[in-house]
Amino acid sequence: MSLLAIRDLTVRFRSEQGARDVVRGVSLDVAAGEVVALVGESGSGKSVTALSILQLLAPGLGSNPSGSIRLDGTEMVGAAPAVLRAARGPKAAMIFQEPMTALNPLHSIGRQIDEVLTLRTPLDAVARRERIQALLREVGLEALAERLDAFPHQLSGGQRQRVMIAMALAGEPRLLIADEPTTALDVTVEAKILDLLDRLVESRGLGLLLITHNLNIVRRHAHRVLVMHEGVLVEDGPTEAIFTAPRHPYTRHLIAAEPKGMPAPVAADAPVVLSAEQIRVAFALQRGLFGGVRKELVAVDDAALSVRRGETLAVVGESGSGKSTLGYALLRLLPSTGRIVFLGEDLRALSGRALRDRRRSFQIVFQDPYGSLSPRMTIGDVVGEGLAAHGLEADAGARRARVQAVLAEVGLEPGMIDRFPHEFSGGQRQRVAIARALALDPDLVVLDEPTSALDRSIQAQVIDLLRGIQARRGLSYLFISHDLKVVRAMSHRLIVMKSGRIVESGLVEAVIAAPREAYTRALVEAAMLSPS
Amino acid sequence: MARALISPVTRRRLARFRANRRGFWSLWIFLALFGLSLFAEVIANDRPLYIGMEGRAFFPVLTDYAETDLGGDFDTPADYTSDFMRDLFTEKGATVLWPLIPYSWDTVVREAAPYPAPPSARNWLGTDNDGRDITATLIYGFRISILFGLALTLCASVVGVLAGLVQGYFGGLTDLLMQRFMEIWSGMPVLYLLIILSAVIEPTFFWLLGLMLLFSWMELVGLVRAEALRARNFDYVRAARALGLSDIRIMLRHVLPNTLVATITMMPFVMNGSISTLTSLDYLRFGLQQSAPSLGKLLSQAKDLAVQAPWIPLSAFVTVALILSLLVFIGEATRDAFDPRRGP
Repeated sequence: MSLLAIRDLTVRFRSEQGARDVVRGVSLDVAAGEVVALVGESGSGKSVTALSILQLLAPGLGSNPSGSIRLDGTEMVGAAPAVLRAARGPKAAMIFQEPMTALNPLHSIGRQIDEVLTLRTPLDAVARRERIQALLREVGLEALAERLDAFPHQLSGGQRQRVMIAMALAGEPRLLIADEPTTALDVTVEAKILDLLDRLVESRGLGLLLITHNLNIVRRHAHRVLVMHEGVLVEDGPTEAIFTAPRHPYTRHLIAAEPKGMPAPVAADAPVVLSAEQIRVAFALQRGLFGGVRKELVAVDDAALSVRRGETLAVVGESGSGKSTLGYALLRLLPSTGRIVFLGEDLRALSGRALRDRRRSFQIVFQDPYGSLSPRMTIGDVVGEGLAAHGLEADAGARRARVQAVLAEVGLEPGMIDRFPHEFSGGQRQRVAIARALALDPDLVVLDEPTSALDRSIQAQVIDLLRGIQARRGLSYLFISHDLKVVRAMSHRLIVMKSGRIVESGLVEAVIAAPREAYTRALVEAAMLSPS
Repeated sequence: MARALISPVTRRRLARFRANRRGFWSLWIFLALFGLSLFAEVIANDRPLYIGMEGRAFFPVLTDYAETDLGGDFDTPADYTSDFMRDLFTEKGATVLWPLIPYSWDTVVREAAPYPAPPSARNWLGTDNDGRDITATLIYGFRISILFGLALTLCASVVGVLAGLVQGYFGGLTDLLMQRFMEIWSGMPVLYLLIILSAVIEPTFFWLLGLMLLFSWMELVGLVRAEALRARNFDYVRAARALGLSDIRIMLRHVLPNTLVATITMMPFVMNGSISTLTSLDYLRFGLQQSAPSLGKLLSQAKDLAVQAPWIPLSAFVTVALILSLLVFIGEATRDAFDPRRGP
């Protein structure tokens, strides 16, 4: 008998516009010792299906009007609160995406795990302490077993996620539900967490429902794959079968959506657009009485790079490696030291008005398409703002025409000019952000993880768009990313950053084929690049 | 493509404001009372609204007439409450239309003596210790309280929001220096300052407004500063800097709107504070002098006459309580409307 059996499940959400069924007629099974991946793009209903299992939907907003969820023989839909409480923990436990917010910042990790044990076991304080230490060792936190008074903020992201797993295991569950457990983590940490989950499935005979949008993870870890699309389960089968012979068109689309292709080659005599030497960015952590810096955090140290016309230079590294900081420093959005030469002009020498005027030649596109557009301005105002500020196209009619031309260039309808950002999808918003950067006709654009917040299929479209613009306009890109797949499809050369320093650089294919540094090797391995 | 005049966000906020029935009705009652009190001269005045006499029309509320214009003997402003004028009107068979309450706030009701006179058909809420009609005083006092509160709140908000914006947006040394300045400045003993000043000058409406403004602008700074500190790291603010926009433009266009929700939510409560302060200053007799009608002065009379003339403390108390309660209810509804937890 399967551990989890969901039959014809509906998830309904109520909002001011009325009720909406976001999941319809979903049936699935998870057996003990099995890893089942639930795959789909954002908004496909995979997370709310997972929340329904333990009946954790927001009360009053989400509900399961029909269907059945049998968890280890107990019906969960419509169960009494006491039944639900008894099931949460001993029958199934959940691991969430963001371990920083899933752990309570005000309690030590020992106390948080202890809370579960106090509720679920008859052990006394000494026995519980031993149990906590055993659990921490089981999830690979030997070092923390003697430091139960550590607080979540003192741990790294990977350690926090391991604590979350230890908490989940404390209730001795039979089923683990992991909702994007590694999305917030760096790729090298991600692999280790997933290996840990694999080990636990084997040693404890757990069932694991793994919810993710990352097909790499699925291929490596899942036994079975369920594909969700717009609230409906469209395909279900063993992992290899799904990847080698997908039946449903959406699954085929999802698998084919991997970023492919290469950027257009750079002309041999292309001039250097941006060159920088000895860039250093440091944040003062503590200052002396007279403003002298006592303690500082060096985010970027002794970085040097150059970008030629029509070239894409990728900056690769994990979070905290200083790659975004480097990008901001080069655009003089952050104070830094070192030499920055842009089109033969020393940027360091400019300030105030002169710097503002120069800014039209180098633009930036941010990662989060939801945060980078002011919610109170129409698309036309967002894209046209730079034109107005620089006194280009002073005539309102001409400006509007130019904004519409740029919108058309990034693949948006010119008629959308008067709409507000909230009316657009993530991919469309990112196009607007690209249009804003292009409106000023720049020579260099810094792309700060422009595709990380987007679904795979949208990602490929945005990459195509960026490559097309580059070929047409001869633009140079500084492409900041942690995803080597996207980097390979976008860039000519790459530099790898670690702890603020450039550890490796070279042509993209050369670095990927033969990484010199162990760190680069780990990145390449985690990306699971298929030979091009 | 036709677009709605107000954005969906604004529409949802309005709907949430309306959903708070108490706050919604408070707003209408407040607006109605305030609107009426703006026409206090037509409601409570010791001059007739209209005199029709010998085929000519006079509008004493709008224009000052000399006695001679109306057929009297002296070239002085006409006193319409005097027996002489009354006899004159009767003699000439004039049609006289009086306001609802035939007294202004500073009219001494001679026939009601001895003072304070209890409520009667002529003086609905009685008179105060100086023989002035309390209903008229309340109407004029209400108006001046609200106007003072509004003016102070608006001025203080503008100054406070700008100061907070500058501190939050620039941060660093600017922030540090302004913060320290504010700490010292807010340590000033406002009351003593007022007492000393009121010995030198006679505080008028605008004197008092300016003086209070010197200290009350700080109320909103902390709030706005925090919002601006947060907003300056938003991607779209960074993008605006990368576009080459000037700091002033970024502050006003991209950062300011983020701080407005907090500001608007606080405003009814700030106004409440302003009105309370004015009333207490009047009560202590350091506020508006004899030249202005005031709820605070009525309250200070009430202190001495609470037992002897209970209508004075009662009417003053009810009026002040009404203003403050209405504003609190409106403030609550505003807070609901802008509550981010109930959606944008």
